[in-house]
Amino acid sequence: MIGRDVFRQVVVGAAVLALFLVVPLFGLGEYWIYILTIGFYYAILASSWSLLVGYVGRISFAHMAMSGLGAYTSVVASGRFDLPLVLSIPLAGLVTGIVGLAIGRLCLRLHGAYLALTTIAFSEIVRITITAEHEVTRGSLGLAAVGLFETTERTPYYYSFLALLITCLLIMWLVLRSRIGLFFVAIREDEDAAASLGVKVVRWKIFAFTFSSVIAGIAGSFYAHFVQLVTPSMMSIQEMGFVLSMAVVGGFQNIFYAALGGIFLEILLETLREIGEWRMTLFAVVVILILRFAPNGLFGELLRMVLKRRART
Amino acid sequence: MTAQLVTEGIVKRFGGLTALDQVSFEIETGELVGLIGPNGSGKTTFLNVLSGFYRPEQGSVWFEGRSIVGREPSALAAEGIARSFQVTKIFRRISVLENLLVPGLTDWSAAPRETAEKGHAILDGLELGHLVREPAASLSGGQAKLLEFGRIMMLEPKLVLLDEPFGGVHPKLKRLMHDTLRDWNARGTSIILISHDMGSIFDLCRRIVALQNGRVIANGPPEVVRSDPAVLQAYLGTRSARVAS
Repeated sequence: MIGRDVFRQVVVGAAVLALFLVVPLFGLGEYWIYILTIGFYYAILASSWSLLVGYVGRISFAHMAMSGLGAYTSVVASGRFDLPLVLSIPLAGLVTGIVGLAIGRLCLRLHGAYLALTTIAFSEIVRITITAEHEVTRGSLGLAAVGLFETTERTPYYYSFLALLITCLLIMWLVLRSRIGLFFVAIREDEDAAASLGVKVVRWKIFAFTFSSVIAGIAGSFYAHFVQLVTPSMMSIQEMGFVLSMAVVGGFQNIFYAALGGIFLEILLETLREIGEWRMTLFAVVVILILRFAPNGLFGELLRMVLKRRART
Repeated sequence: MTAQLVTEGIVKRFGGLTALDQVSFEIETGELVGLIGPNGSGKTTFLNVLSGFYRPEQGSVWFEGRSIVGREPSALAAEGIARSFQVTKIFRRISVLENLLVPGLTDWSAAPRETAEKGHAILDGLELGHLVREPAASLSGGQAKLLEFGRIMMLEPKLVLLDEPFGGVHPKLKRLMHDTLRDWNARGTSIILISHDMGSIFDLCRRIVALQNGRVIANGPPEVVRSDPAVLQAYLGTRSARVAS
């Protein structure tokens, strides 16, 4: 039964992937290629956030701070110290991994909401520090970044972000399919029971937080070298709210659904741009409606309905 | 026989409340000891100290000759101390078999396929074999208690700590649980059993330790503890104890 479910998910996943692979070949405008590329960035963030929240049951509000930290690390390393991007991007992952490990060691020994509270404080400290600092980060003016490619065309970025998204999803899926994924779920279900059965609860919580931080950092560095500008606003609580909504709307108990949530909400936000600031209100209404009628996420519900209909016919 | 687990002068306080007050206890390898006492007497707190969930303010705990105070619960599980919980703590949103794979796979040398086969065999023995792929949330209260037994069996522990395993369990399942406990015990596993079900305690245990207000008030064979005035007083009150004696 489980095997058949996995097979169906793989088939649906392959179809979605095929769609994204061919879409630019059918005359999609540069603007929408740009939007989808940003959507892939949010998809990486939403899925890696859902790995921590949906599987381990720990809420972090530092995901955008990690993404921003990765972005600034790579931009400063490449712009100021002339490090090639093939080194500055992994360096971004390393730095966010070390920071994630430090925060995890500090607050993941404790039960309850300590991680959530600490990460809100951490996010704001990082954002305000970077805004206040001028010599290295140029404060709220932001830093110009070199592009991933020399061309100004969007398509190479589109495919490189799609490749990054697939790679991140694949690595996360392999981890979640292994015994580590089972330990994550056991911790989410009952920390004390997991510990009494030999699961090293603190170690795996720290691992999950560090792992998701590394992915956010690398995504952030890619983003910086795509938009070629990095500012402290990418670490705002509002941005974190977007990522959180994307994961919740897509379905945060499944990394693939959360990723689709990222792409879907980015498209929705752009579609609503014509109505100005009202779009945020409408966006919130859409999120509330989806939470009301599909509390486990839009895509899980859709897939369930499609498979149910197919089984009936 | 040698003492497998020894505690000396355990004191555990919660603010102004002394939950355990100079508790000294020992269990031999292969013993099945009942731990009784009125509500709030410190039984579960004692189990939490033995399994690493609480660190005592005073006293020492020795398991197979080594001090285990301050060790993590997961480390103690790996050393061979397994436990169940008063309120059943199964992993509700994963399957019955996956519940057993969690403890089975904490040993990194264990291969997933062999671990799953072991899990199937254990679940068959506990009459849960037909439910392996079902979500654990679909189990009845008694089946959930049996599932906790199954998870403990995956660890192949040396010492098992059971906290009210028979609470709300159907008599048929209770018989199966009794048989399982006797089987573990016959294989040399030591068991500390907390229960308010005196029928099960007197049926299964060869020694009973009684606690009241965090202190050991009786320790001996069931027939002795059963008529101990302090135990009668703890359960029935002073006047009834006088009548009983």
